[in-house]
Amino acid sequence: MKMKLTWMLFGFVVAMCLVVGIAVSRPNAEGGYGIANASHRAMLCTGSQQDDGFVRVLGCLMGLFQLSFLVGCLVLGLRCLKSWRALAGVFIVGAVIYMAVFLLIVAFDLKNVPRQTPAMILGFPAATAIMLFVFWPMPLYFIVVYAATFWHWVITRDDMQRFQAWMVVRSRRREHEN
Amino acid sequence: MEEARGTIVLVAIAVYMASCLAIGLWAMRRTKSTRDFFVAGRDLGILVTGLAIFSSTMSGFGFVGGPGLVYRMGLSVMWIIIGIPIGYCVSFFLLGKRLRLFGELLDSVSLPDVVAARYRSELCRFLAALAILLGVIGYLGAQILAMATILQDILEQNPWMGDISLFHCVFISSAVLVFYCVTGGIIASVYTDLVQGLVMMVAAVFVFFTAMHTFEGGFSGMVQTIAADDAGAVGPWGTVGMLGCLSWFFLFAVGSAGQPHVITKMMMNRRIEDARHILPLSAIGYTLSALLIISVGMVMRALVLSGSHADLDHSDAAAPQFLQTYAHPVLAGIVFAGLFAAIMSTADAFLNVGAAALVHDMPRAILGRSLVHELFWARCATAALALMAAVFALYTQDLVALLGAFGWGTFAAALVPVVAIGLNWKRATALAANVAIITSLLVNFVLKLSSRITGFEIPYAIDGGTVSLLVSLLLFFLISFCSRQPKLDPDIEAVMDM
Repeated sequence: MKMKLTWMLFGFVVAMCLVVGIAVSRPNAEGGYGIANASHRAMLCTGSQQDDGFVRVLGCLMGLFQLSFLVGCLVLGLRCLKSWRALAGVFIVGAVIYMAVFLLIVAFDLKNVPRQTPAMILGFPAATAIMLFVFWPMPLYFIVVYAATFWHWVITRDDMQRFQAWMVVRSRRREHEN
Repeated sequence: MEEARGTIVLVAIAVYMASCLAIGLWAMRRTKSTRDFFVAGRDLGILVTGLAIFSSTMSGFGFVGGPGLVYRMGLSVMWIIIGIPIGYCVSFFLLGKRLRLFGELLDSVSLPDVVAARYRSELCRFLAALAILLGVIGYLGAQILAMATILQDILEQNPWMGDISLFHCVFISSAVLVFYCVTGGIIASVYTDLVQGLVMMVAAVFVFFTAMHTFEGGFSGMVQTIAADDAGAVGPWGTVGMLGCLSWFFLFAVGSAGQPHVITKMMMNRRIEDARHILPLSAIGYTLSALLIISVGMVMRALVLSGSHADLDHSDAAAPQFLQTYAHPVLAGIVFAGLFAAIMSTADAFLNVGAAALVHDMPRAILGRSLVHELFWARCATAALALMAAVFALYTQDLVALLGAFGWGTFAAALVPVVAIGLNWKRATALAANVAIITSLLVNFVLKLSSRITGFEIPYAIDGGTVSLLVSLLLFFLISFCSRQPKLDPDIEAVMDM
C-alpha cells in the first residue's frame, strides 16, 4: 500500500511541476499582479492578470494537487495496517472536504469578478469568509483523527512493547561490545 | 501614563530579558551532558514541547514582518498563516512518532544523526549538517539584526538614554541570547520558549481586540474601507494572485516538516504518546498568535486608506506604529516583549541546531568520531555562532537579508524529502537524499542571487522556495524509484515498519 502511495505522491509532484512549468513559460505581463498603489507607496494593489481565466485554471489544479499531496503525506506517516479500508475512508473524506472547500473559495471568488460588490458573510466577501472560517480550521479534522486514532493508526501498544524490548536487547549488545 | 510610554515599554523588555537570564541560570544546573544540552535529556512535558514548537515557528518575520505584509499585500499573506497548522499536521503525522523512536533507538542528539543512520551515509550527514548550518547563519543574522533594530527604536524613544548605536544594540540583545543558550542549552531554550509562547499568545489576543475597537465598524468597517480602494486586497488571493498565494501555502505547509529548529523538538518529549496532545497545542498556539498579524495589518491599511493615519514609508512599520499610537502603553510593553520573545525563541532554537551541526555532526562526518569534551565545545560553538551571526548582521546586511530569505525555503527543500519522506519510505536511497540536498541548496541560492543581482522574478509571484522544494522532491522520488531498494539496518527497518 505504501508503495502505491509513494507513486501517487510522485505523480502529484510531477503534476505540480507541470503546472508551475506551464505558468512560468507564459508571458508575464507588466503590472500583472501586485502593482504599486498610486497614493500609498508601501501598499500593493490587484494587478490586471489576476482575473485571467487560464491562470485560475492553473491555480485550481495547483491547489487540488497540493491538497492531495498533503493528505497523501499524512497517510504515509501512519503505520502499516493489514486493512487500509477504514483509514482510506477517513482520509479520502478529509481530502474531499478540503478540496470542496477550496473549490468553493475559487467559485465564490469567480462570482465576484469584476470586483465590485461582493456578497458578504460575517463582514467579509464570501470567498474570503470561506477561506477564514472554513478552510483555515480544516486541519482540526486531521488533528482530531491523529489524537483519536493514535493507538491504532499511529502506533499500537504492542509496537511500544516491542520497541522497549529491542531497546533492552540493544543496550545489552552495546554493553557486551564495550 | 502616555508620557511614560517609552519607559513602560523599556521596563517590560527589561523584565522579559531578566526572566530569560534567570531561566538560563536555572537550566545550567540541569545541563550535565551533551544529551541534556541538545535534546533536553528527552524529558520534556507536553506543555513545554507544544509551546516550544509553535514559538520557534513564529519568528520576528511573523510578528513584525507578518502585519507589514498584510498591510502591503492584503490577505495574500493568509495563505502562509493557513499553511502552518496543516504543516504541523504533516510534521506530526510524518515525524512525531518516527523522530522520537529514532532518537531513542540511536541515542541521537541531532537531525543529521538520524539521517546518517537511516541512509547509512556519512556524506548524507555532512550535507544535512551543511544545509542546516548555512540556513542557521543567515536566519540567525536576520533575527539578531531585527532584534537590535527594534531595541534601538525603543531606546531612542527614551530621551534620557541618549544616542545608542546599532552595534551596542546588537551587543545587548546577543549577550542575553548567548548567556541563556550557552549556560542552559536546549533546556534554557525550551523553557524560555514556554514563557515566550505565553507572552506571544496573550499579546496577540489583546492586540486583536484593540485593533478591532480602533477602527469604527470593527473588521466589517476595515473590509469595506480596504475594498473601496481595491476589492482584490480583501479577496482570498489578496494582491499577489492565486498562484503566488498557493506557492506560499505549499511551501509553509509541506516545508514545516523540514524546519530543523522545529522538528528537532519532536525528539525531546518524554513519552511518544505525548505527540497527540502536543499537535493540537502547537496548532492552537500558532493560530492565536497569528491573530496579531491579520488584525494589525488590516487595521493599519484601513486607517491609512481612510486618512486617519499618515502614510507609512515602509510596510514593516505597521506593527510598531500601531503599538506606539493605538495600543495602551502597558499592552505596548507586553507586545514589544512578545516581539522580542518571537525573535529570541527562533534564534535560540537556531543556535542549538547550528551548534549541534558544528560540533557533533561535522566532526562525525569528517573524522568519523565525536569530539572529546563535546559539551564544552557545544557551549563554545553556541557562543561562536552567535558572534559570527552578529558580525554578519552588522557588516554584511545585504548578505544577511539574502541568507535570511534563503532560510525557510532551503530547510524545506533540503530536509523535507530526506527526513520527512525518507524516514517513512524504505525505498529512498542515500544517492537520492544527497542529490536532493545539493539541488535544494543550488536552486535556492541561484534563484535568490539572481533576484538580487538581475532583478529576476519568477512569474506570477511563485516563490523560489516552492520551486526548489518541488525540484528536490521530484529528484528524490525519481532517483529512488530508478535505484535498487537499499539494504537497511535491521533496527532502522523495524522502526520504519511501525
